[in-house]
Amino acid sequence: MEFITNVFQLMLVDRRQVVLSALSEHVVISMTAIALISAVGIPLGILISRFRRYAQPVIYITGALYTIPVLALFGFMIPVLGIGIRPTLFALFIYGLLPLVRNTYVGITGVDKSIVEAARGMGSTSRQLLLNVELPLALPVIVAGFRTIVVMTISVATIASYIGAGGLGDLIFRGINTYFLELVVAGSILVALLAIVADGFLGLLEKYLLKRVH
Amino acid sequence: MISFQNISKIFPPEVTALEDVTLEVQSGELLCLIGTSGCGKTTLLKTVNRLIEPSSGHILIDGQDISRLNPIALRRNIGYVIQQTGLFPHLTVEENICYVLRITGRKKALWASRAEELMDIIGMKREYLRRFPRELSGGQQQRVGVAHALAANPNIILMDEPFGAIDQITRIQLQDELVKLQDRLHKTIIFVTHDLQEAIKLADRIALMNQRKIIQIGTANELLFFPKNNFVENFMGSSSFFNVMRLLPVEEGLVYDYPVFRLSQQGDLRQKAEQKARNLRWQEYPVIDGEDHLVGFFTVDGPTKGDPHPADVLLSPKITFEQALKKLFVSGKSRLPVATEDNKIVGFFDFAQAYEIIRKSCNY
Ligand SMILES: Nc1ncnc2c1ncn2[C@@H]1O[C@H](COP(=O)(O)OP(=O)(O)OP(=O)(O)O)[C@@H](O)[C@H]1O
Ligand SMILES: [Mg+2]
Repeated sequence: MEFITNVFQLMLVDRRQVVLSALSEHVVISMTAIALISAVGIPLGILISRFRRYAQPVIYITGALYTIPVLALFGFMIPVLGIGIRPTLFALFIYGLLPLVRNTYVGITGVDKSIVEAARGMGSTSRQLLLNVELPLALPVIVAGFRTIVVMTISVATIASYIGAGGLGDLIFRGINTYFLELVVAGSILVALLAIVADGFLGLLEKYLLKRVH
Repeated sequence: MISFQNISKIFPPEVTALEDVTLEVQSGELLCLIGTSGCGKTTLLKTVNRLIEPSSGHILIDGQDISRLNPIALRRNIGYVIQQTGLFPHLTVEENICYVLRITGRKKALWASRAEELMDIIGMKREYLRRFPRELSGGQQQRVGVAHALAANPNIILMDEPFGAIDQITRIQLQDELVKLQDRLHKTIIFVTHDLQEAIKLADRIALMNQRKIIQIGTANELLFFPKNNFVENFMGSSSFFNVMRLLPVEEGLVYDYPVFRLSQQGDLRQKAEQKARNLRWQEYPVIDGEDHLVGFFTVDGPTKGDPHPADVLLSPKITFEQALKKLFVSGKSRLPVATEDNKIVGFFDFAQAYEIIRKSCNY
């Protein structure tokens, strides 16, 4: 009981400044990575839904990247990109790509054939078909993919402090190195909370969108 | 007019879906495409809006080869209704109906009034405009599907089993509404169905398909009573009692040679008419004026003085055997006069004659 009080004392009073800056660093890193992933992943998913013969290879490659263990990936990257924020973003980007590309692709190609056919039959151009029909109907699936990458990015970003990216991982690793258990727990709680809040919010959004299209 | 010229379709690698189909659909006509499952109806329909391109042959709309037109522009001038309604679940009824207006860049200000107009046409309350498709019954969704297709006021409408997934009672209601709509709008409609009764009810002409080809085209009666081969005869149930009774027009079975007294004629001619009636065992015979209008009846061996008694039941030549027999039974007579709207006598619907014709039509 005293331990928990200590953790909160630490978080909210003693090391408030440090904890807050670690939290904001974490959020900034995650959001940047998520923005990068979205900027590439969604268009790529759309693209392979238009040019289907490239779909399998693209999903295969992003899938292969997805399976590289985190530490191994850092090992490959440090010689090339050094340490710090750049390799971290790159790693997060590589991990996040597959779920978003795949969900965008599956979402679009999974739209009811008869609806797509009706839209085409009424004279939609392929752009109108995409913007007015396919994307809105694929949105819940795309949001589900987005939800996956958000949670994953928040958690993988913790490990990234290992290569000097900062964030909440710093608190945890520093706590471990100095046997400062309260600090470890404080960092962990915040990472978990961040992930849970983001996941819960996106879950609600997904549910709302799903209701709209069925 | 839509003219299909030697249309064939082979889906790669080697599924032949259409084989040398030639067909003309007149402007303002409702043509039903009917046939066994997989015979190529949907494929043929989709060649019109170029969702499917034929492997060979040409389709002309009002003389213009559609393969030379921009497919997007072509489709915007053709209404398209499908069985699964094709409504967009994320759009309200109003947005659905106005979809074509939206993609053709029509001003948003026009949408609402057009949507209301269309709701009136399909007989739905305007308050449904704000609902989503999932909040409508199957029948209502299908009505909205029709409004969808009418939005841009196209001359041609393609319908692929639009009422196929709807319960019997609602289906009949939707069919009735379509008939009324078509009476008013005179669109050129190709309507795919595999329900024969639906085709008979809706179609100006029926094109019967089997295994990639059109076997026979004609009115329901032509297909029923003059089937080209055994397939048509079996498919149409040509000889079924039900079809004969419901579809055979009374005109097909009239007695034209009957005793009659023309008012301008003199006494001995009345004797002659009466003698003929007596020979045929008719109890009465018609009296007509100089222009064939039915005036009434004289009773055989009745009083020779006085006016003829009026005819109480007249049949229209347009009604079917079923309706005519019903009236005959209700009247309690053996035959009834058939007369045009302006009361000109055409002939007699006679029980003995009807009996023979039904027997013959049903192959009994
Ligand atoms: N895209 C396609 N690729 C390959 N074969 C197809 C394709 N579309 C249709 N076919 C085949 O073409 C034939 C005709 O199909 P079509 O859909 O026109 O039949 P239909 O008369 O509409 O049948 P139903 O009454 O069951 O709807 C079928 O054998 C079908 O399997
Ligand atoms: Mg079909």
